[in-house]
Amino acid sequence: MAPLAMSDGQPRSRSFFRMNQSRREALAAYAFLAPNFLAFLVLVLGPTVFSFVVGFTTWNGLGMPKWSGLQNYVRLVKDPLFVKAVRNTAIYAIEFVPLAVICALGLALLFNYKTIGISFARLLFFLPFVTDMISISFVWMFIFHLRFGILNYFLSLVDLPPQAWLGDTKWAMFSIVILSVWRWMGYYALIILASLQGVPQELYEAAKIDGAGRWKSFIKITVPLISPALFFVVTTGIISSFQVFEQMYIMTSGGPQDSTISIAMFLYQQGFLFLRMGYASAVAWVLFFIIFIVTMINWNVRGRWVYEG
Amino acid sequence: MNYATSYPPGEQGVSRSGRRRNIFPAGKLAISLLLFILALGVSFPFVWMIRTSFMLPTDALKFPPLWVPPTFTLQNYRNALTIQPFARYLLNSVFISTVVVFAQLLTASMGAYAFARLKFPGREPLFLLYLATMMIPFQVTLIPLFVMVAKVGWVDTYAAVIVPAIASAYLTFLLRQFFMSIPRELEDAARIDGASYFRIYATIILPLSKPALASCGLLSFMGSWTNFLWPLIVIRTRELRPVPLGLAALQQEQGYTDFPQLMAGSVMALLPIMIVFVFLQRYFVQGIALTGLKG
Repeated sequence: MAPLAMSDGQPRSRSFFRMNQSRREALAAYAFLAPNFLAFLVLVLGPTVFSFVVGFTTWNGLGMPKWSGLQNYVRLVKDPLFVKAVRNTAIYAIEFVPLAVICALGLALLFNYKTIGISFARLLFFLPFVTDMISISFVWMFIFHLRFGILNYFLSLVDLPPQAWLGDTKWAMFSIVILSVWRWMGYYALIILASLQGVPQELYEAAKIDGAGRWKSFIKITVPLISPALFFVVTTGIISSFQVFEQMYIMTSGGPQDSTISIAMFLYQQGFLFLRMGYASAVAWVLFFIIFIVTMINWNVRGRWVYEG
Repeated sequence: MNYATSYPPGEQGVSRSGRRRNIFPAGKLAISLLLFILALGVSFPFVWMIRTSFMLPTDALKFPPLWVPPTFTLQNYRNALTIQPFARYLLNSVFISTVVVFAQLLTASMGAYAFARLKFPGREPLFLLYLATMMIPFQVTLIPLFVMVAKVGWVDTYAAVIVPAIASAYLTFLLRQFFMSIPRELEDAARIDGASYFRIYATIILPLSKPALASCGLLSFMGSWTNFLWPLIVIRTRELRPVPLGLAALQQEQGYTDFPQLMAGSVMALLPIMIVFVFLQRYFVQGIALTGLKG
């Protein structure tokens, strides 16, 4: 092999010159990867393994962790507050995901029309997505307020009684869902829109010739062709749902009567308020396990409804 | 997938759209009207926030609500800035987010280059490992990271917020996908001229990836600016708080909820990120295409 002059004409040691091409490439690759991999090892992989081990111990974060086997997990299953947190989070996901996806699909279909101010409209609907949760949680708290809230004012206009939205076990979770749908639908809509714009128009023309109506071509052509985008939106929606935290932390602190305590919030309380690090780590792994299972189910039913052309 | 071909709201899809051409003006008008009404509804919380932030508490808490504020006041902003060091919070957030963005882009792009372009033993399994960790929720690493930060003595420092944010398997993945779409011929020419791998990375790959880097930078900026849970855990001193934490403190340390003042705080918290968004929205949208279309 001919020793190529390396970069910048810098002198290289003889052994480096002798190195064959693939060795040199591998060395360069490791050098490039080093900072990234170091961070990954220390900040992601290491902590993940550590967390898994701590989940089997009793530990207050100081001192030495005490091995306790499966005790944390057994206790979790019996902890009524945790069971409630899992239920609440599931309710949140079941309400949020379909609502957000349907709203986003509707918006995407509207966005697909070329009308005046369409790009401005898209921008406007996307705006909630770039907000931080804390600010907008305060804004919605004010909107939902029992006495001064504009929502109750709108209700009074149509002669409906005022509701204590965030203070009522019946409404609190749904109020949070409304905020989340408002925040995410514009983002989801743009993802679906991107896919919608890739649908070949000839298909619609052909369907029309065959006498298919708008609804039929929507169900038979549009939905299958944008199903990968829908799948992506559903998947990310589910994953983010199970990690929901800030909205509850600010708007309800988990109340009323623990009706809005989420898994992430339960974890925060156990780990950082009560310093039960082992217990909280077990919660984190249950959370991972739930997300994993749901994603797997989602992935497996994929073949039934997602069209991969 | 190459995002250049799937840039969503670009106008390239318009001309070949038969459906849009067939719309009658009346239908078009109806759709415009519908969009307009929906847009009003969606932007209402922002309007309400801004309105309330300029009102005296007595006016803001009237029921039925006053649509037009009878008096215009800056008092809420003044209060928010004096009760809490809100200007300091903004500076903290700007500093933290800027450092995080550059650190993430540097490490992610270097790693992505290795994954996308260089052959080395262990590449595939390592990449799979990166992918696998992307499924693990942040909550899993929360406690170990906190323990580590505490052990190093970083609790209550900027480093505690910045350093753990540097690792991003996600950005590494996104940039790798993008780098893969850059034609190899460009590199081969440089290679024949004797350019080093670093030269290729710095003078060919990075300049060609500016839009992708901008999109990823924005994603990372947003993530950093809006991060709440992590600073909540590692920051104790008020002087070190980033904006979301300071905003939460504005309510919690007051003991009661002063909505006009909170709205003023929210406006100040949202303004920087909104400005960034409005100016760089193109890259946000590209970022969506980049993230959304891998499936």
